[in-house]
Amino acid sequence: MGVSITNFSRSGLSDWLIQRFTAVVMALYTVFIVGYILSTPGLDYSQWKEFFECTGVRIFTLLALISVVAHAWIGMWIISTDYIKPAVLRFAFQATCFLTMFVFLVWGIDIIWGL
Amino acid sequence: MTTGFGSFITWGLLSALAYHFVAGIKHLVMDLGIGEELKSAQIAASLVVIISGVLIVLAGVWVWA
Repeated sequence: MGVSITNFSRSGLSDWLIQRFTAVVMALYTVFIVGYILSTPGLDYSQWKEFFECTGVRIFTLLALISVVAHAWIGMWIISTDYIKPAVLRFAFQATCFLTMFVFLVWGIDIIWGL
Repeated sequence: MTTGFGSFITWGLLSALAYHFVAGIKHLVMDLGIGEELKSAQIAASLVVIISGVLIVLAGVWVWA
C-alpha cells in the first residue's frame, strides 16, 4: 500500500502495541497528577516547582510526554489514512501533525528538564 | 484560571481528557476479550457516556467551585 510509507513503524501490529502501551502510561500519569493535585489543597507555585524537581516525576513526565506524541501520531496517521483520500492533502495533514508533535516534544523536554 | 474564558478552556480540555480516558479504558478492557458481544458492547458504550458525563460534571465543579 502506498500509504504505509508515511508510517514510522512500518507495521500495524507494532502500532497496535505502541498504542496500548502509551495508553496505559498516560492513564497512570493522569491518575498520578490528578491525585497529586487533589491531595494537595492550596497548591502553590513553590510546591509545584518542588514536585517537578524530583527526578522520578520528571522521568514519568517525560515518559508520558513521549507517549502523548507517539499515541497522537499513530492515531492521527490512522484517521488520515482512513478518511483523507487525496494524497497531497493527506501528506500535508500528516506533515502538520508531525511538526506539531515535534514541537510539543522539544518544547516539553525544555520545560521538564530546563536544558 | 482567573478569567471566565480561561476556566471554560480548562474545563473543555479536562472534559476531552476525561472522555478519551474512559473510552480508552473500554478499549483496553475489550482487548482482554471482555464486552465483545453485541449486547455487552452496547452496555459498555453506554457506560462510557455515563461515566464520562459524571467526570465532566465533576471537572466543572473542580474548575469553578
